[in-house]
Amino acid sequence: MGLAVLVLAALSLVTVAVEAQQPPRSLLLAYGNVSAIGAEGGNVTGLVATLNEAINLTEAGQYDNAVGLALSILNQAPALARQVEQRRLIEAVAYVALGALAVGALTLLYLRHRELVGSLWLRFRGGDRVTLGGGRARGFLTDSEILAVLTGLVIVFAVFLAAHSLTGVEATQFSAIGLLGPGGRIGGYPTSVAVNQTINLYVLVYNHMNRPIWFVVYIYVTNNTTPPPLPGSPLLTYQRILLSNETWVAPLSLRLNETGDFRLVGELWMYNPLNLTLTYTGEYVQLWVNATGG
Amino acid sequence: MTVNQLVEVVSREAGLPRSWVAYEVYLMWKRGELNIEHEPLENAVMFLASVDGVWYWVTLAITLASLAVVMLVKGGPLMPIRYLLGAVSVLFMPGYSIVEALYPRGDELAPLERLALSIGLSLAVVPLVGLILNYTPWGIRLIPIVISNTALTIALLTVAALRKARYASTPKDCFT
Repeated sequence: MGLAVLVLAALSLVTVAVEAQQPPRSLLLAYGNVSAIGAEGGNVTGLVATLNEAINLTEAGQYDNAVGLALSILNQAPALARQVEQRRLIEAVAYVALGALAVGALTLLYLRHRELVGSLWLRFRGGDRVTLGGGRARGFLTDSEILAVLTGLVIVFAVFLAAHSLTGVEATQFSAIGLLGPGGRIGGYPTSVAVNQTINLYVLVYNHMNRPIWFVVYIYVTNNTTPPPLPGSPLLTYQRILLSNETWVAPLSLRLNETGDFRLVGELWMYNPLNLTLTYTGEYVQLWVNATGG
Repeated sequence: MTVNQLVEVVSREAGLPRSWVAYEVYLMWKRGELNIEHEPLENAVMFLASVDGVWYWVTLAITLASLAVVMLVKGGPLMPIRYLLGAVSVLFMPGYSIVEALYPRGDELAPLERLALSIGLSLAVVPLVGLILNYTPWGIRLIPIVISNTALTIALLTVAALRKARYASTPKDCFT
């Protein structure tokens, strides 16, 4: 890049200051298995933690230990996959049973509601005095208009529920990367800093891919406006496997030791869980910072 | 004439089961065609322990069930129940509890007005809860939202129950 940039801290356990090396094949295979089990609804929290530990070991150069962890996961995976399959079957049966029970209970309630409500009411209010009323309705669930509105709501709810269960439509899959200010919140970003002044930011990654995903964040500092993915080696690499719906916030500190306008770019990559190749997600964040001589 | 006597007479003359007649009398009371009166209840405890207080316990149970389901159910066959109770606790219960607290007697508003106001007030109040949460250290997240919404609903339901109890402890002549 031709820029003199000094990096202060290596920010988290899974951050490395060089371009990410290709992880061991067994680790990628273990990730693929765990991601597939997670996609089927299995609880893979512990396995993902182990995989992240293996990634850390890989970055620390302890490949043998990392491969050992990956192999242990590969040994556990088939049994866990079978458990998930059995659980899905049980859930399907439970769905049908619950639905049948609900329909049966509602039908019975509808057929016997006069006897049920009448006798209960007579038991509790039988001794009260009856007089002519003023004609002002007080019932909520006995009012025909209310019941019409409720029927409408039930129909809409039932249609959505049926469509959801028949088509198996899942939530939109996406991932996201964000840059947070020094306070760990959106805003307060530095726009102008002195040379050698520390810039403290946070990188945020969010996984909404409905399965565990191995994310890799490349941090570049450049002074050109080339659209990502940027060529060359990144200044920093963060990587971690995130569970579905998990958010990861990692601190980022750096200093610029030259004056000028610099562009801090964070690119979000991921290991595709299906073909285990590193793929650019198309998402990035950037921050322009002016480094002044003062 | 008591309810029992009325039901007995109509049941005998019409040849219908007592429970059916009781159900029709119940509907006539709900439509405002009949009044059902009993001795004034002395205090709020008696009100909550009486059949009139069942309303409070049922709405409280729905609110607490929503809280439990939202906190505990993260997937599986109970998810539709989470959707349903979650929607009720956000879109209906806060406004309903306000309406009940403001109009505790029961016949001040038509049922449809009560429903419309319940939904409308819920839509107005819940964002305000979010606005307040935004300025707290907890922020707008699931658990603070659920807890504050539940606490607000229970507080308003309790106010409504106390006002209903006060009404129930007053001789009805005061309101005629």
